[in-house]
Amino acid sequence: METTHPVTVIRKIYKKAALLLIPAVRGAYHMISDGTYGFSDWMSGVWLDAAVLAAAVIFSILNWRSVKYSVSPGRIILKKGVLFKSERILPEKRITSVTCHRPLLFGMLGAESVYADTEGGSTKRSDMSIIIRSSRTRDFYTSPRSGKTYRPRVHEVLLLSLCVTDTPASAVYAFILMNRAGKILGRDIITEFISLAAGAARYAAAVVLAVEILGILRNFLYFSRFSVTRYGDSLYFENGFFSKTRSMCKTGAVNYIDRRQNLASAVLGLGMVFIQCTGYGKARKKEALLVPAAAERSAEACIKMLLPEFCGRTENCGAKAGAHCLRPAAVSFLRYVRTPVALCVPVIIACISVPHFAEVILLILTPPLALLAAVRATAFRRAGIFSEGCEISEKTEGCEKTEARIKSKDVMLTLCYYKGFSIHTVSFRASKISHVKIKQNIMSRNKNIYDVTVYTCGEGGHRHTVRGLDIDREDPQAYITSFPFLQGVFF
Amino acid sequence: MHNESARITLAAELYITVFAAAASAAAYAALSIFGTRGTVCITASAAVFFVITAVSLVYAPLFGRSVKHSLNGRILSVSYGVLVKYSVSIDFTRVVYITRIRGPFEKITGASVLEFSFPGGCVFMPVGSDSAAEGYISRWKQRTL
Repeated sequence: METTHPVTVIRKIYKKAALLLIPAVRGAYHMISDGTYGFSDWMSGVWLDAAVLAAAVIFSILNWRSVKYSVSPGRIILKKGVLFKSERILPEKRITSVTCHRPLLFGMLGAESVYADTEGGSTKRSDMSIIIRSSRTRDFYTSPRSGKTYRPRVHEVLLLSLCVTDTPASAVYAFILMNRAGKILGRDIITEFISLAAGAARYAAAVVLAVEILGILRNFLYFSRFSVTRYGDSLYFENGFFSKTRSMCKTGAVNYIDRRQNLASAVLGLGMVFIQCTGYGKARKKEALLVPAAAERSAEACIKMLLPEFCGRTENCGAKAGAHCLRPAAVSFLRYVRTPVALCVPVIIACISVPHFAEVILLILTPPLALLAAVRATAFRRAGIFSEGCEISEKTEGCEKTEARIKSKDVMLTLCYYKGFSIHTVSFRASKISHVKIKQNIMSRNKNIYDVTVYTCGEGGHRHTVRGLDIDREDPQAYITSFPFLQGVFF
Repeated sequence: MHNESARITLAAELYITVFAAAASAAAYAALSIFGTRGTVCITASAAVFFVITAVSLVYAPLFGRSVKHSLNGRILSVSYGVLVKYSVSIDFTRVVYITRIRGPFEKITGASVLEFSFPGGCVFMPVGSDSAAEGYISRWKQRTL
């Protein structure tokens, strides 16, 4: 059995001990440099802290010594625990993803974190997480010898960083807003308090902006030098400027691919593509990226190259084929935009009741509401459930062949829906569907309008809801489950 | 159905005894903070200890006897619980990995807990003997590895 890298000890205690260590060292320095007091005087004050620190260090060392692993053909065995010992056997063929992460400090010490994950286990923690010597990582991760590689351009990574960082535009907007608010409030309402508040808000906005820029920079550094390679039945990812991260995930474990767009990227015609593969991205708590912000056509080309199993969008064919496509009813448009419209009411009330602040309120709340309404309207235009089968019928085969093909369990489905400020176009195989839920609210009871939620496999399950679909049938549940593309799932 | 209740009962009793000792120490500390007299503190903490231990004498054997597990074909069935009954059946071929957990008292008694992880969750199964645990692991290895 192999032992882990000694840096594990530091990793285990630094969070617990740092709070005690810093004041203890500071106190010792002052006492010794002052010369009036000795070591015993210092110890009489901090003995309890020192005891806790020593206990933490001893426990961490014992914990480190207890973690042992072995890699043999076909399985990985992981043993750990001081009082409660556990032994885990991970079959190699069940491992869906492996991530090796080497921060700057680990690189200097020759250590690397390895995370391995399977379809089972916790949704939050990796099934195996150890720190080992860099030279031993080849037991878990081997770089691809050949294969098709995709490397995005720098500007694509920068655009991605802008999109995945919590709306940097909002910080710029906040800065401008506060600046303007200061002016408005300072001129119209001459109170010292409000002027002070407005002045302070300007600095607060500057801080927010700085934090956002740091966030963008952090994401940019994380995603820089990003590359994806398809080799055999696996995808190999590499990224990071200072901290290097290498990941491998099996294509069979990819539950779905998610083409995500917010309004800005939709206007620019850019799309980000993420994948959901058990374990990938979990260890670093980052989005599981496949293609950074790229033009829609080039994103599709990348998907075709890296994951040909998921290529082919079926929105248009679905509309023509009819039976294998579900789209929102025209009356559902109101459902899509009702939230931003409903949120306008309190804004109007606030403007009427506090006319002095009307301009500020409008300035603050109008842009996000307009953005939300625009996203919802765009989502309405695109939303629906589409299946791959109809595409085959259109291009090459007749109806009978289509039916035969789409009855197989591996038919691909594409769902387009909105979530928050983003529009998601999610593609997955029908075999990845866990279950389907159909909901009808009281307002649309007489209109045959339903919300369809498709749950896909994966740790914890994943939910995709398309709202306001027009299902003009007496029994929508039976109708949905009789869909050819869902027959493999239900029957 | 396997039933290694005696060892599981002993392990459960030992854990409850440790819990009783911790609870009585906490009771003593809490009463001391509120300025209760020394003898009262000792009496109260002793009472806490004996009540919990007495309950364990009833609960642990019932718990030990309630543990049942079997593997019939592909179906692994596990059931245990006294006040709340826990019963689960899973397809053994869907088990992704197994973790064997042994605390200090399991080592003394020879019992252990097997954690079967599968897509969608995990099942904990108390096992009364090493051979039974090894049996499950080896059968799983035969099917999976």
